[in-house]
Amino acid sequence: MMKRRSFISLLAGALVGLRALFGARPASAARGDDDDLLLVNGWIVRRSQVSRKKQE
Amino acid sequence: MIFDLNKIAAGEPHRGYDVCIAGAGVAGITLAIDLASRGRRVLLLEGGDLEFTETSQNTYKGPIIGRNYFDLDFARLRYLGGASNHWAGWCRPLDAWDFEGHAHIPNSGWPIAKADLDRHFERASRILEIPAEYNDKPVEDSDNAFTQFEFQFSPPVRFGEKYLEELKSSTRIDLFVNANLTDIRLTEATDRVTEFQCSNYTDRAAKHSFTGAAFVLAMGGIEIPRMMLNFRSQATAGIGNAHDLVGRYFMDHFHASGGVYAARRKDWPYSANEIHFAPTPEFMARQKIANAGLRAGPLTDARRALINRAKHSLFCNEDEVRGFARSFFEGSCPADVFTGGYLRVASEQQPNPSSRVSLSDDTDKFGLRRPALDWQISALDRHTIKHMVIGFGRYIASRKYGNVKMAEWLLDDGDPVPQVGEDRWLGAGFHHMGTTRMASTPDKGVVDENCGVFGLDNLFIAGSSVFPTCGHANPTLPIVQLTLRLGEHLAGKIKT
Repeated sequence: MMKRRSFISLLAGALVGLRALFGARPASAARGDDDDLLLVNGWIVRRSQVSRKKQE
Repeated sequence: MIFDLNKIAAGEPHRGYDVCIAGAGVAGITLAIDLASRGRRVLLLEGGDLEFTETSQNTYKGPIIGRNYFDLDFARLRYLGGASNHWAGWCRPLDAWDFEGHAHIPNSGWPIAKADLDRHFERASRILEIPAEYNDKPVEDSDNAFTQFEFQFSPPVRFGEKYLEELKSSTRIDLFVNANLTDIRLTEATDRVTEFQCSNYTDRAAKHSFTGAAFVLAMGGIEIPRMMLNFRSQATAGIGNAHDLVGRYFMDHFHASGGVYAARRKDWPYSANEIHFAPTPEFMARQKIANAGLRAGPLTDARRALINRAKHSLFCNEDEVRGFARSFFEGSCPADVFTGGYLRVASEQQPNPSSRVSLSDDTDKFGLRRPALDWQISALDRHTIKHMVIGFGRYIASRKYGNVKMAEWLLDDGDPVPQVGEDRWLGAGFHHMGTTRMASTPDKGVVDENCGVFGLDNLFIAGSSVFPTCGHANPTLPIVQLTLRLGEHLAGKIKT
């Protein structure tokens, strides 16, 4: 079983900017409530969802 | 009247028909009933019997070359009613932009407009026993990316059962069962059809001839090109194949798993049933994708779907999945408030001349070469599914509704597209389209705007093989619409 620490390490290490994946984003998608999106182990997530985890 | 060709000896030609139709499935029966209601005398030929028989079904066998596909005698049914006998009943019209085509999709679009089929929408809906309305609505907060769309569901209508009594009692329709088309005879100038020739199962060498003013092929998107390519005694390249287009542009709807989605139940703004999203024309142009239908749900199956998928990537057991989910949902998130489910995408395929039906070297019991199917998935097909999933993932993440986990095969464009049979969600719809495509000119297609075969004044094609672009939805409703339009055209062409 994967240990929690190694899991967090893997999570942090797997961050990939979605900008490269998605290409240019329309301006309307860049409003304040639409913070940066990331691809993490296949999950499409908001940066804030990941950063909270990293701050624990 | 219904006749069994197995019980009839070959003799003088059967004459006097206004329209001879080969194939008694959705298109063939619809056309026969329509023309009879307009006072025309109709011949309807069915290669199978009133019920399923192995003898008839065996005729549908043929090799799959290249990419996996379903066995050809599994993906079709050869008896009265045809494919309606295993149809699930999903109905939806084509979109206007399917007809208009797209600059980023080569060979896309129709030479007619949606309005040309809309005139037959309500009558086609009555035939299929569905409401003639679709409550589609734009997804307002998706930056004009998606429309939430509906299907209607036919009971489903089994055409052989629904119309059996009418076919029996009709004085204008002669239905011959066990009547296998074995040749199409042309005039010496090869510009008109003179007769259909058929054989039965009891004396396969005997030829039964049927003559009429017009002739229609309505045997489905694989069998029609097979027949046209087989009949070369008068047309060396095959019937209507002067430009080597018969059998090409084969399309189905590519069904693929796009991944899973997950959300906190209180944040999820949609219903607990399967929901359907299609791209707007603007999103299609922006992402350079084809039309597609994304299906999300059901929510009640969420944890199991998530867990099953996650097992194949990072996690080993349910506790770890739950822990990972908590990390994305900002704190405590017990499993019972956790929702989500599968994402599937049914994609329109790019019209591709290399995706095709050709002839194999094997022959059937009538000496006709069997079909060989080379079904191809293009880079655009893959791109469409990938960007529908990414677009949906962006939408629900940015609106804080939930998150998408993309299917593994979509993460790396270098990974092979999964084959039919590798995953229960992977496959196609048994929708055989495009193989005698409609076009404005004979160098671009096999039939003209009226479904008439180029170069043959009185040969027509009914069914989805004429679709030059197939949209994302199931083809039965457009087939019936197009067939009613053909009936109107033939009735205008052949006066009583």
